[in-house]
Amino acid sequence: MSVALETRAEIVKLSRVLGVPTEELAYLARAAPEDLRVIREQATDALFEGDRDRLYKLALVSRIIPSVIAARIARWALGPLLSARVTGLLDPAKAVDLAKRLPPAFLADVAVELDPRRAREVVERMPAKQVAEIAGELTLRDEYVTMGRFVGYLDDDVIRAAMERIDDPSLLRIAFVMEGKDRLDHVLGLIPEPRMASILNAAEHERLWPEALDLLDHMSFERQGALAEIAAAENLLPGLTEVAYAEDLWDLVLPVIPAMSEATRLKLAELPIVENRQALAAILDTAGKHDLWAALLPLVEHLPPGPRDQVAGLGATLDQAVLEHIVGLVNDGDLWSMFVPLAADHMDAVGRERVAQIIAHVDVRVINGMADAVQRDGLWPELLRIAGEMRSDQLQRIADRLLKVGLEQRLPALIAAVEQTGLWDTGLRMLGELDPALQQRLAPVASTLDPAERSRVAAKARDLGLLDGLGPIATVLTAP
Amino acid sequence: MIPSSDASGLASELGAEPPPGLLELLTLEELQALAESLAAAKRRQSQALDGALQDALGHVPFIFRGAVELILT
Repeated sequence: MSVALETRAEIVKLSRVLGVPTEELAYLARAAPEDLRVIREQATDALFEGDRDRLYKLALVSRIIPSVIAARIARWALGPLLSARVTGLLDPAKAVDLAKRLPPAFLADVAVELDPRRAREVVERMPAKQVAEIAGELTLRDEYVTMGRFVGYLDDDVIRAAMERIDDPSLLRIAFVMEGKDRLDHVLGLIPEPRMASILNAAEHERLWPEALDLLDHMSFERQGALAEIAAAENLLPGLTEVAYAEDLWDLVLPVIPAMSEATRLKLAELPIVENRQALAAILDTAGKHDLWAALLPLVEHLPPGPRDQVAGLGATLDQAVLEHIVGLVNDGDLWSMFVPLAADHMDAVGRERVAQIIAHVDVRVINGMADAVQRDGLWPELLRIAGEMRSDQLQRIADRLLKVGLEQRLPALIAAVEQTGLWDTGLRMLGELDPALQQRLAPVASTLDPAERSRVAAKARDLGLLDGLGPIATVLTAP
Repeated sequence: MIPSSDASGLASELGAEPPPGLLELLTLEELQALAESLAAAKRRQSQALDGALQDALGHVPFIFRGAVELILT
């Protein structure tokens, strides 16, 4: 929940405690919600303490009279406010017995005034059926804030029973304002999948996506994934993402991407919103502000060409430190097969150069990860395009790593990529920058190349004035 | 922002020090308004309790009334 909405919910609660209209406390709209919660609890305590002796006497009276009479006094003499104040002082068993004799409408009135902190045991002992009836009554009155205060005090069976009496939109509204949201994930686990689908549809039809998206923020990773799958199956992703964009809630959506199945990510990447340049810029902006790159990157490979170009273009303008961080994440997530083509084919020369500078300076672990992926995923052509922007010393650093292991496979793959792309200069410079010992090791591998291919490579190297730099490899290439 | 001493009215009504963040944020008038809202709520509750205690007796059967009166007085 946003701070502004949390504050609003706290003002509603405080207005109840003080018995004033919410508008009368409008000046508190600037206050922090946690400050308002503290002052609400202080005010509740002050109201209780102010009449403690007399309230205690009332509780004593309840001990000596039958419950049926105590219930009558509660309803007709005390009323909901004073009944709520006394509740916490009653013997819990007596309070529950007394409540059995009161109608749900009155108990709903009491619930509005009751401080569950002071009546925890009574609330916990209330039978599920009766709580469900009260919940039904409170739902009719749109008392979401009241219900949200009690969720944390109720057993699973009671919550299940209550949820059956609460409609889907109301459940979303209650969850949104609920206190003790650390319990929300557990509570959501009590909802069967068909009901969850129905709740998400309610979010769509009742314009309650902000409330529904807020749930995501309090869910376990697994449940986030399950919810995303339901949303995808119900074809709700378009509405969800439109609201995420309109309400600036991408920070709630992006963390869920890694929890999605591949199929759902694909659906997400193909949504119309992704074609919206402003929306995509907002997504990247959010990823930057909240460091959600790790969550966003798995989506990029599924993007259509246009949005990919935009991501690449915006990515190329990121700060150096951010780009370095992203390259590290790419390696951690083994996302080179997404990243290398993105940089090579979707960034302009300036962007490619920036990526080249970063790749040339990242630590050896990252370069090794990239080298393995380049060979495994056939990324040599794309890598050559990036390497073309590197200086000699930079090229030397990555060339050694790229060709150091698996020479038998890597050299032919590099030559094939050079032939395919026509990037002879980069490819041959890469070989020329290799450590002499490595060139020596590569020479026998070069000798296994097809004779015609050897001649072509030698001719190109000669044309470009790079033949001498190839050392022992040149000897093999030019051998009759 | 106002000095916290000016919030003594609210602290007195609350029986506790209000959150510092609120003291820094609210004007003196707003703090006084909050204190007055709480004071009014206390008065209303107290008056309601006066009436309720009288009314309660009316619902108590004669057999219990003496004991109940003894407790309430």
